[in-house]
Amino acid sequence: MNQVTHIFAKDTRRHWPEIAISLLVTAAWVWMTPYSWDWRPENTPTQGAQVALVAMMFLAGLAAALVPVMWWILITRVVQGENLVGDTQWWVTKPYEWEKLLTAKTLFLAAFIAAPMLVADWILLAEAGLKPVDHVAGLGFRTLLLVCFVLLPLGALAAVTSTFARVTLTTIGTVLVLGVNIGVLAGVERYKYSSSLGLLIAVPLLLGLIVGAVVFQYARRRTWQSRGWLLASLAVIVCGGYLSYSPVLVALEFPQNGAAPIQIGLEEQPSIAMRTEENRVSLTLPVTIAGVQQGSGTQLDAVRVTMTTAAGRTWRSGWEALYGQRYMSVKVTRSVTTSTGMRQDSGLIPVSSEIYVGPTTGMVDLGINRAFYDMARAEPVTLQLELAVTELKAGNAVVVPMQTSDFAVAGLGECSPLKYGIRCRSALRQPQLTFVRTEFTEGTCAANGAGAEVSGSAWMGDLSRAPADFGLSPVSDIATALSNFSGPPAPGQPPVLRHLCPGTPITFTPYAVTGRTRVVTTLRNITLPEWK
Amino acid sequence: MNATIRTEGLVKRFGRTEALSGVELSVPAGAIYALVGANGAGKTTLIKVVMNLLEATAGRAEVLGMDSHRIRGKALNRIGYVSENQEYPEWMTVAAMLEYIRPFYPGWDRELERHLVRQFELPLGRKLKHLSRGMRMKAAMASALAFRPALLVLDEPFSGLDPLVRDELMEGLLDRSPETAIFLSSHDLTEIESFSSHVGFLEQGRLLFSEEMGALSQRFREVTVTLGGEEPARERLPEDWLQYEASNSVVRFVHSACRGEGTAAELREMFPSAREIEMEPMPLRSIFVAIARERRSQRVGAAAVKEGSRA
Repeated sequence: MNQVTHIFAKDTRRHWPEIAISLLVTAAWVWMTPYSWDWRPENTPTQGAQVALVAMMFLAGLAAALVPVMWWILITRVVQGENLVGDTQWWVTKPYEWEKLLTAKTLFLAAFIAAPMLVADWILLAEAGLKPVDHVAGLGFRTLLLVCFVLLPLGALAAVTSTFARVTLTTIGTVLVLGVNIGVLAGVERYKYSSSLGLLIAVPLLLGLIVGAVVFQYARRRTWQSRGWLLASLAVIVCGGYLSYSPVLVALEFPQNGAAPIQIGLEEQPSIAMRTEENRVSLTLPVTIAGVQQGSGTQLDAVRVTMTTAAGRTWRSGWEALYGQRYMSVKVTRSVTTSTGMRQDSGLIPVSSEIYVGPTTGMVDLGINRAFYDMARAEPVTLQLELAVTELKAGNAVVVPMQTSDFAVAGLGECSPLKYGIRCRSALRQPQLTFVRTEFTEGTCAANGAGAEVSGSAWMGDLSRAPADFGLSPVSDIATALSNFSGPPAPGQPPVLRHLCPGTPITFTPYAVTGRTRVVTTLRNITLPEWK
Repeated sequence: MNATIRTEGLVKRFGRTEALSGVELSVPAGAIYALVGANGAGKTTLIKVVMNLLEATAGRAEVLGMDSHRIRGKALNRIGYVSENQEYPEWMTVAAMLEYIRPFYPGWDRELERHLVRQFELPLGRKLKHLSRGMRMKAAMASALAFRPALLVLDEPFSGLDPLVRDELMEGLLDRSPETAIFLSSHDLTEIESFSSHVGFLEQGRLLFSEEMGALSQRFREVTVTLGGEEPARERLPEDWLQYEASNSVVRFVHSACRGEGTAAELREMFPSAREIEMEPMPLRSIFVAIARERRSQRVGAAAVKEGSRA
């Protein structure tokens, strides 16, 4: 007898109602989810259609919430089918081999949770117009994320608890501990920059401890020791959260090396804004950013300030987040619409000109200790700014003419027009960081493309290199508002929407990380603002 | 002789409570060994340590020649276990349970399984959760016997069962002996007496004695001495006299080291005025009551001495 398949078959026979419900809920979610992608006024011309769509979207949301709940029930029921807690279970006195029991349970979760989700992902990608076959590696990575961050932790909790009620209480307790910790962290480290290295260190340790707890519990059934492993994994998450704010990790993430990719200076006759909180004075410095090379970009991630008074007294802040201000220099193609409509080749009359997108001036927020500020503000001070900088390089821009319905954007996914911008669906993750630029038309969209044009732009996506994001849906569906989508309002009137006319070229420029570094600049003789 | 179960200095503590205190036990091969003792004496703890369901604090146990720590997985192909407190797969029917467990055992005997089903009159189509307690024990027993285990461990298997079911279970067990050694715990002495070949008495985690049932029965006698005159004054009673009571003309006690005629001769010497000396065999129940009372009075005496020395 193959013990693995024998136990698997028994579990399948026993839990078929839960399996059936879980598959039905997943199928319902897969069926309903695409409706939310098409939610545009032109698709719902009647009130009845709008009500039906809203109802469908509500049900899709409900199904999306029920899918993980069913996983949770299924995992708990199947793991606790051979309860590992206590010494009165019938099965522990039978010749079960723990490796085979664990394999059988893993096979069950793979067959009835991971595999159906893989199929669901495949169907949803196809429904979204994104070729699943192009994303096989990403689908594999997404399954790995599901296993590591859903199946494994829930399985571990079920393995160290004896009943459904206890696993429920434990799960609630775990969520509460994490929630409170996140809340405390968000409060205490409100302004601080969180390094992704913290996660890189914590996640392998976390997964190692959870896997260790599960294996140990199956091998030895020493519940309190296994619970200890899980408590340690919870401590790792908590510590990892605090660790990610460590200046050491920020310094590791942004090493000080070579020539600075940009130069930062203070604007002439700067107007430094100030606001105060309890023990903190926030200064907003208007700065100039120069030296961004064509085809590249710079993202300001964090800043650390060292303030030195005329008397030589010094105070240094921690690394504070700048929330990814980006500055870049790109060569963009302006184009006009021909009577035949927009095309990238002969129908298009390109007028190339090098323009700088994004501000060349920016704002840098600094947090200063209030007591030091009070002591230092009487005389001009020297500010040394250390900026944690991510260097970006532009990839090949894709120019696509605006359509009235869905249109494909190479390397990004399927997009559709919105009144204020565009909506794009991407496979498995947010798109790679992309700068979107187009021209809004004032007034109506004339057939010949006449009408004043106003540039509209926005960033979409992120800099992550992971092939898939963690989440239920394999389709990232992001609506992006472009700048200047409305004109200045006339007095007493609402703002007037500008138009993205069919055929208007939209330029998608992807950016990738080329390096991370620190830029140091010293600003002398800064007069600090007085209290208002 | 090879022992089926052997323990050496077995200690198990739960916090400050010592459930087992240096238990030294040996269960001979082929024996039906009954571990008896009051509730809370440590019988279930001892069985669980032997079965590797609990880890000993100190000492070691050996089962069928292997360290008890290794009793898991394939090692359980040779050991059956039934307990009154087990959580059975109640959602299964009897037939499904037997069908499920069958492939786990290479030595499963289908013919014996059918025989046990008939013998115990098991309702194959009924779910375990719908069975009476007795019927559930029979189903568990069938699943533990059908693979012809070398050792069957039973924790209070007859507790709360009606006499008919109890007899049927005993009959089923006796059919399997001596092929299968049986190690069982019980606090019902009457049922053990007719059934066991060996007996061990556990009290407060200590094994007071462990011996063959016949030898035990031989050893204990209820002695009644009818005196013709005055009883000679005694400074100290022999240690193997338990529950000593004396009135004007009658002395009663339990002799725990009786050696037949030799003892009778000794008693006649010790009671020269005796008109009659009766030495009656004792049922197991009476033996254990005598031992338990003696232990209790010893403890009370020891406590009084301790209290007195403090005062």
